[in-house]
Amino acid sequence: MSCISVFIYAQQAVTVQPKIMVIPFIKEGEDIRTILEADVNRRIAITKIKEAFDLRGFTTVDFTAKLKAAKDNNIFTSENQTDIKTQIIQMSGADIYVQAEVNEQKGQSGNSVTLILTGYEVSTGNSLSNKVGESGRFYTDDFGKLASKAVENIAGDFLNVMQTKFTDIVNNGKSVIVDISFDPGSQYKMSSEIGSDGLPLSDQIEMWMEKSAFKNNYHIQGTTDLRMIFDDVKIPLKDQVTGNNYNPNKFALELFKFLKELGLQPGKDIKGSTIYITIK
Amino acid sequence: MLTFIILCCKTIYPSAEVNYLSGTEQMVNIRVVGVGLDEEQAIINAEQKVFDVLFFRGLPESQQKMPMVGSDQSTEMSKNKKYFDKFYDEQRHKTFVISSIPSSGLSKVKGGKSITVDVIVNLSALRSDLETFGVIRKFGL
Repeated sequence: MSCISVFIYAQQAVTVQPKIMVIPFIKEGEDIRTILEADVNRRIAITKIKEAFDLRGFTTVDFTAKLKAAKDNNIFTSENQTDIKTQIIQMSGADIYVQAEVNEQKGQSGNSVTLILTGYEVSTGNSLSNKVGESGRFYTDDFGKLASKAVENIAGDFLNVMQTKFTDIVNNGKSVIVDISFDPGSQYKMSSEIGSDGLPLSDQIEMWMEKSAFKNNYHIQGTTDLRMIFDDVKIPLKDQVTGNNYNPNKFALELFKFLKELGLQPGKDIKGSTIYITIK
Repeated sequence: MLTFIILCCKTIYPSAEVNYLSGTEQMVNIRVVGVGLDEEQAIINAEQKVFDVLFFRGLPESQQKMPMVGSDQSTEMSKNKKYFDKFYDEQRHKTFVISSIPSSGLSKVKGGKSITVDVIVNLSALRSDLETFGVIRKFGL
């Protein structure tokens, strides 16, 4: 008599973590490509911030490595500093960037460093955490040590606030932007009455969004006859049926299918967490 | 008579009497008043008050301004009953106390004796333990 053992392996989808990159703040006239090479104190501040993430078991995207990759691949298409920063953030694949502004203050009662730390979601601009750290005044010229102290004074608090926002995302969904517009030659407009109900397209879309947004949570920035923008739509992190990871691509596909069912010819383009739908 | 009955049923919560002294992201030094039947019990009470505040209230001025677990103490404790029973009743909390030094003498109060203690807590280890046992989520989504 043979014994048959059956092993059932339960697979639980591991949640995809956001990619976080720590970047330096740049002032007018500063070059983000060389700023870290020129300033050891900023390097110290950025490294200390990354260390804080490491201590929480979270791996960040290295700004210097991405910068080098961008230079090696001749990514930069403009000399405008704001454009270069945007290009670095976009090509890094980062979902969140943490910007560190280091200000050195010299005075007769001692020197100090003030650190302004801000964390944003790249595609939506949603703020995740903001802290101002002070090193305190000391009779020292070691601004690196002061920068390090300023980071240490707020890093834990900064990450705790960020974690409450992450908890909110886990419980209430992640934000995406949905921008619906028409091809120049399209015969349709937002007021076009389509589908079996004969309702205006904008209403059809909103009714679909009402059912599809996670916990019915969405916000319309504005609607014109040629465009409809949802500047904040919550989507779940996990598919509610299968438990698999869910993302803006999947949400865009559902919207695409819905529009096709209405007899339309949509096109979709997804950049990060922004979904662009163009109706032909 | 009705007022007496109502007052009897009203719950009066004592003050936590927990004050932040100093700290970093990895540890926190807190001054706390504990009450017990003797010095040992008072110190344990003091230490456990520290963890109550860290878990369910947060500590202003520190790097742990927000509660580590959540604000709804009774719900969180019943969700993770096994963990908290071991933590408090079996005094597992002591494994996260770096030091616990009385900063005042023992004084007689209503209900027993009170003592002021300076407690240093290993926040990193505590957070890691809460994550390991699923009481809180790891950093991230």
